[in-house]
Amino acid sequence: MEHTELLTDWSRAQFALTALYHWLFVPLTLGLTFIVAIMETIYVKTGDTKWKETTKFWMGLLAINFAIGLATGIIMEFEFGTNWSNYSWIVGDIFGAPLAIEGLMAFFLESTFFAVMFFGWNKVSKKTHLVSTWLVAIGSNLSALWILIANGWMQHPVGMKFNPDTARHEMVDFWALVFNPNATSKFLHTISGGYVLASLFVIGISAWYLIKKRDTQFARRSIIVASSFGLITSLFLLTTGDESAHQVALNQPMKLAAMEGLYDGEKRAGIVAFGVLDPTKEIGDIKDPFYFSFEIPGALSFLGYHDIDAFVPGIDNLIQGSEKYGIISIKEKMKQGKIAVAALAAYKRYKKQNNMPEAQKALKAFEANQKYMGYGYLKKPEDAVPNVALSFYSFHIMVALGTWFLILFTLSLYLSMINQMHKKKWFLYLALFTMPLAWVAQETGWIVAEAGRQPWAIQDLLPVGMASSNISTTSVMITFWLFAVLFTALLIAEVKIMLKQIKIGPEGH
Amino acid sequence: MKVGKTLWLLIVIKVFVMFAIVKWLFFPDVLKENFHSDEERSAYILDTLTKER
Repeated sequence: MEHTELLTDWSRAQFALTALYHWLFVPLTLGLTFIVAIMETIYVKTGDTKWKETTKFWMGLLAINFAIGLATGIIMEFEFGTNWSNYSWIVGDIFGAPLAIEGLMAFFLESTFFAVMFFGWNKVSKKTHLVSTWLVAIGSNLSALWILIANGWMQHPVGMKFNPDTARHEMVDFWALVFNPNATSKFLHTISGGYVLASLFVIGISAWYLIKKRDTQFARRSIIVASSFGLITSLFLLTTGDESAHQVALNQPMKLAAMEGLYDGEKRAGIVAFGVLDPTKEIGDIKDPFYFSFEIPGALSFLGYHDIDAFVPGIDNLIQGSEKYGIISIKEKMKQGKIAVAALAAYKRYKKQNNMPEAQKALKAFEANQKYMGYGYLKKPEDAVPNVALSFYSFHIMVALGTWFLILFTLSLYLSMINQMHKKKWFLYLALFTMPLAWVAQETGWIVAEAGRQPWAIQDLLPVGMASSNISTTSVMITFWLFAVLFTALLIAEVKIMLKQIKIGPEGH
Repeated sequence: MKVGKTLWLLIVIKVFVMFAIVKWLFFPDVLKENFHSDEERSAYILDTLTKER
């Protein structure tokens, strides 16, 4: 069997499908655990049993989400061994260590205390139960931390050394991996996104109760907690988003250029607040990339480099290179990458012949050019550019929705503080219909992060085509559809069970 | 607690499908199955990385 682009595309599609489905469940758990912890804290502090009833209702929905989402992430670990075996070998303990810590520490912490939280209401003291609820929240967020440390390394690999004898990256600095700025910003942005989603979930369902004029006191209590939590975390989301963009500008400038549809770089580059891309635009031509667009001047320079006058390179600049701005062309990177690959081959050959002096020379040549090794596998410079339309629209949908959520939380908190929310039907419907948009924002965020970094499995070092296993395309296609059916069934089950519980309402718990 | 029973049933079915069917039938560990030692695996990956294209 030979590696083909079709095989890589299907392997990517399968991973994307499982990751996107998995991500329907995870952010709700990340955020809802904190919301129920806050509600239970109010119950323990005030002794008001209505807060206990409120906590138990949302905990019930959390349990449904937890049970159905549980283990959907394991499918991705199967895929690492089967579809991405080259990648799994090459990343070695760099990727394995954080995932193992996640499994041993965070997941078990979360699962153990989840049992106490869900089944222990009348079996442990109030305070023990409350501590368990907080530990579930902390544990689920710690799980996300280790996964995102692994993901952050793929986006910005640090703290490792490539061993040319074993063909593996070996960890040389654990703390560099843990405090990788890309991982930190990604973790904070991801968890705050989960908090916002869970807040919208609580507000949306509570709004439905207010529309139906039932369980109104319960709904108002829930809205006050979720609006406060949502507003604070939305502001945090904004700042972590800013830091994420800054990290992308520093380490993945091609991704930033694709996210903004920027071909021709400029100083005082603007952010496109709204725009429609011209699909006939090609790399290197003089066409305007947009049919029309509305820009905020200087905002992209500020977002990317925290300097309104900074030069932001476009796709054409990154491909062609620029001496003035210290940008190496993709052609030059490809040349260095090919030298690295050839030097690695020579090292292997000389070592087999026991010609150590020549092997050492080859190794030196490899190490001098290793930084751009991945470019040695590209066929043409344009292969270094991700799908611009997908990155651009996903990014802008995510940002637009994030802005809308901030406005909604502000309005929601204000209306509930003046006790007017239940009278504003238009707002209740708005809150209800905004709820699914929270998932749209989450998924588009992941599309920006993952599709935007293509063609890389490990930034600059390993393209996806080299990371995938040499297996049958047909088997990947079969499992793709198998998962599509399995996950869709799980999603339908989740929605059905949740709707049933919502209809029963808090008094039925 | 009818919902609890439904959830447990779902968890059991899901875990069975994932581990006993999906993992067993469709997801072999490619490098573990095709090679006997880490040396062989390293050699294969090095060959893949350095093959003339």
